[in-house]
Amino acid sequence: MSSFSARFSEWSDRRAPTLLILPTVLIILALSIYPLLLSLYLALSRFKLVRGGYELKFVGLSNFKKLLFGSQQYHFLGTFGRVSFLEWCFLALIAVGFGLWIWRYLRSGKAGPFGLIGRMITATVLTGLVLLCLAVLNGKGFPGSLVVTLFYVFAGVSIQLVIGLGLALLCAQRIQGRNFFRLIFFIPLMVTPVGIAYAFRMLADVSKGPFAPIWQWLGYGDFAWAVDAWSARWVVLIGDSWQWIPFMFIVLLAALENQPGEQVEAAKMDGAGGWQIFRDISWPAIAPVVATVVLIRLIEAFKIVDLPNILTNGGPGIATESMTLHAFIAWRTQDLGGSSAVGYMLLFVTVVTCVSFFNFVAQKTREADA
Amino acid sequence: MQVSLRDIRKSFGAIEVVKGLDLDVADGEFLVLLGPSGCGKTTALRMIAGLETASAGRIYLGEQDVTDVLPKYRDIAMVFQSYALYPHMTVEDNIGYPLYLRKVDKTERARAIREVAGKVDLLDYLDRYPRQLSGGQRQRVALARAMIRRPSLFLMDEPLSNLDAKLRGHMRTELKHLQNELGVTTVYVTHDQIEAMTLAHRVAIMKAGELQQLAPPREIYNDPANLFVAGFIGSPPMNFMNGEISSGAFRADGAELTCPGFGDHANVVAGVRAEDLRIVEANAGELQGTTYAIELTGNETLVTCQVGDSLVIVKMDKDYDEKIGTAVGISLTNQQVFFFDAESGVRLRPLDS
Amino acid sequence: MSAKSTTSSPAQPAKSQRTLFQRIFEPKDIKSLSPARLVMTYSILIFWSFVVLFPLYWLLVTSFKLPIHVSDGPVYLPFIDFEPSSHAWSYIFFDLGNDTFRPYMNSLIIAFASTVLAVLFGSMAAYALTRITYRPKIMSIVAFIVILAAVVVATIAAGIPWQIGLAVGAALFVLFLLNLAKHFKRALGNNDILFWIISQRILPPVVAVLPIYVMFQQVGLLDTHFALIVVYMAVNLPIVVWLMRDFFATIPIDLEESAELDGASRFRIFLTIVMPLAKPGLAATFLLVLILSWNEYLLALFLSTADAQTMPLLVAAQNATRGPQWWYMSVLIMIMILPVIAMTGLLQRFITRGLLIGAVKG
Ligand SMILES: Nc1ncnc2c1ncn2[C@@H]1O[C@H](COP(=O)(O)OP(=O)(O)OP(=O)(O)O)[C@@H](O)[C@H]1O
Ligand SMILES: [Mg+2]
Repeated sequence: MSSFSARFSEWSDRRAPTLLILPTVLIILALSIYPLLLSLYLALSRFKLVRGGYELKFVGLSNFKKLLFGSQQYHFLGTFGRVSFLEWCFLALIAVGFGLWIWRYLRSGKAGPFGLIGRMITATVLTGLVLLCLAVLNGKGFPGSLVVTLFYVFAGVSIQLVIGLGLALLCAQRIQGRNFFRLIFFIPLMVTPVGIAYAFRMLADVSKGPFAPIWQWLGYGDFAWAVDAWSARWVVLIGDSWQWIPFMFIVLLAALENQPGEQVEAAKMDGAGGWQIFRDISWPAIAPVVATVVLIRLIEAFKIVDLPNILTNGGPGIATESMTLHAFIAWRTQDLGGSSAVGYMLLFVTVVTCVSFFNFVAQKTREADA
Repeated sequence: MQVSLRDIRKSFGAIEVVKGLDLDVADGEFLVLLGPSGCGKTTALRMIAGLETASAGRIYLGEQDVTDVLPKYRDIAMVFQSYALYPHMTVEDNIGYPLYLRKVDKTERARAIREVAGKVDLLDYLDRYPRQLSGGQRQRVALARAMIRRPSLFLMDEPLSNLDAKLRGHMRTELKHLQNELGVTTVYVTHDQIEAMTLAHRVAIMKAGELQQLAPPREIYNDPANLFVAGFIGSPPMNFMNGEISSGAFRADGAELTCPGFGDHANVVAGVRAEDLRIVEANAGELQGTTYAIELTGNETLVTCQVGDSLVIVKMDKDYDEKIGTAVGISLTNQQVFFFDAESGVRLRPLDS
Repeated sequence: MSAKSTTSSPAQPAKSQRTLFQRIFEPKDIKSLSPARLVMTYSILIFWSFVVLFPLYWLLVTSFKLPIHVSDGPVYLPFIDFEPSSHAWSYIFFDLGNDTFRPYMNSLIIAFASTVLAVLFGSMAAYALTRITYRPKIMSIVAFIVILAAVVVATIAAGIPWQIGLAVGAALFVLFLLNLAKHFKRALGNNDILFWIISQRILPPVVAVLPIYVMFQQVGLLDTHFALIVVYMAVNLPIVVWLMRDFFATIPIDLEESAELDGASRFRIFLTIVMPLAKPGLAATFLLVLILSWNEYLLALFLSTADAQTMPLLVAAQNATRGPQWWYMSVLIMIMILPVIAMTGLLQRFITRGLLIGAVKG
């Protein structure tokens, strides 16, 4: 018996490198990679309930076709308005900008085939997304879940970064009670998103919510924000930001407190004022951290679903539907193929955005600082 | 520009770390603040810089009271122990940053940068980042950044402590030369006595937040004001023996030294430097003991002898050798003996002088 | 002592020379802020405290309101504006009783179990990636993906049960590793593995959850604790690996080497030396993952219906046909967030550090 246990422990010691990492790899293979492949298959098929089970029929790209050009286009991409001449010019400007960017890369002497392909994908997809936004935000246009998701992601992350950084800068000063504020500002991160959704529904209620007197005084006493597309989207965005500003705040505050104090003191001796110290010393010092938190938030923000689902149920109409919610609704209507297709589109947009950000922005800040 | 501290005090919470410092630094002087770790040197320096507020007392730069003036209005440059170089700026930008903040135009700035960079031998490194430099080069960047705007006062906090021994010696020479050339008043903090002795016009020795002695290096060595200074300066450290003075002679276990002119005193510490002693035949000389250890350091031999219950180090030339445990006598080569009150550490002097 | 420096005036030309502008916009000394900045700082910080606390306050007072206090327009202060009533609390705790406690217990079990497992497995992998050099062959990875894809096709198109497909695929893969893999040279390094693990976090859960739903449905594990524990563990593993790797990297390797010389095995070193040293990191990671699992909504929505229903689902379900019943909802939200807030308050320092290390080095 003891010789067996000795043999076992010797075996496990020799195999330790494999044994340590195996659980993680297996779990990810089984619950991420395998489902991902299965899901691709689902996206390429039509799902039908039949007696005693279901039936999957391979239909090629038709689910994607439906989203991009067919009956679900209004839902996914949106309804297009006319793009004005000025907006075409704007788009051309962006395209030219990307062109120059790639040109400079080619001239830099460090160009390789992968770098070139990656940059071309980034440029094409981003230009395409800008065109889409211009088209659906125009006149008669109406954004679908893709543009709504982009709105949540980009507007949300920008707002969270600006406010989070501002609060962190204020709290990094030598003031009384900073620990108190730090503790308080941290709280929203822990509240369940479902709870936040309900809380903001209460708060935003113009007749029964706490701000009802103010709305009345402003003459909006019977304004129903949930019926107006943009006000509904903004309420979702505010709820989401309320939860995630603390994340930016807490990490950036730690980064600010972590920067070497002597550099700041040296700058003070050299005669730098508050703004100059921020611009020349603090910002370069925290830029890699900023890039990382923005990346983390980009990744997570694309997954938004709880808030729009509960706050507005995706409405009015489809106005606040994020892509995840879109996929969920498709699933509920037994359209598994459509649901997977939306999921895959989300994956594509997320990966292009995050990888572009990582390669072309986050890495830059790191190099400059390393 | 001359600097004056008037009864400067600093407390962190309940602990007073600088206890009433009075100091006058003359225009163009190189003053070194010397003291053991934690005695408040950095704190004193930071108060002069304005990075720390004094709890009490006043600081004057020239005629002006700068006690409550912000650092940026003081016209002081400081070299930090860690150098505090800006990691994301090139050497050129680091050096030029003070001028950039003062909105000096580009060509003028570039000229000034090249001038100071030439002085500290950095012309070939202007495009590099601090992380690509060696310790000594970083130190010179910090120095150049401090020099470029011709401040009225230089402050340096152990600028050489991060360098290896050889480079430290080299940079010491450079520093002394540069300070002499620029003629800028300098306050320099260190806990290394060699640095203090070689660099300073005058040395200010601190202990636990209090000034012990302020004098030129030679005077500090030859005429220490108290027991602490005597023991702190010199290598090997001064030999001390506990005893008493009565009727013109110091007596201790195994020692008898004449000291004409000193009044009777019961509790005395006598101090003699190793180079003022010689080993002689047993029973000759003023001290009697046995050899305890013999160390050859290269150009001389340090002989430690047990005299009574204290150990006395004698500096002999490099050929001296003897068995450990041999009884020897020790004689004074000149009459350089210092006497201190054992309780207060105050130097005792002959009554009639 | 400080009184002396601030009161004696004649010796202070500097202070009286300050212009009005300087007095307002420049600090008195290096340690303080200028009056203008102080006023601005505190007004913003206090305003933001209000923004953060008011929604929570509103939830709290609403949980003590009667329906009439809500429907007749807002009332703000208990005992002054309205008489608080505990009817909602007693309804949730006594009338609903088990319907509240069961999801609560479900949430506790699922969150804790999945967090413990994720932190354990994730730490193991993170540790291995900081200390052991791996060189997986590119070809074996390609082969693996091909086999996996074949399994997928076999499962769905050919109607073979997925368990069998997976088993055959695994067997093929092992055979490949043992026999063919030697012939290929190109290999990847630790950082590639790490990046691969962390990048799994990019995967939107909605993409993976449909097949997982189908998989669990086929083996009858839908709506069980097991399903949610396993899935939560999988989605949080990347975070654990990412945060813990940096903690392990800061632990000096000398300690482990000396333990190794003393004859300890790798697992023993990991459990008795490395894990205790990484405690602050473990605490931070644990708490973060726990909060994420505790609050998770989408996956629970897909994978649980009744028996394994978690708290977020219960809260979400309060959107009753009679219109939202704010008072009940508020109680539920309160009992969901209070324990988390209490715990985080205690461990907040760790969290800050944990997040920072990850962000700075990640
Ligand atoms: N910000 C602070 N808060 C509290 N105590 C401090 C602070 N700064 C310094 N001290 C204390 O004041 C004393 C003097 O510190 P200081 O840094 O001036 O010493 P030092 O002479 O420069 O020593 P070293 O040679 O080691 O640099 C020390 O005991 C230190 O612990
Ligand atoms: Mg110091």
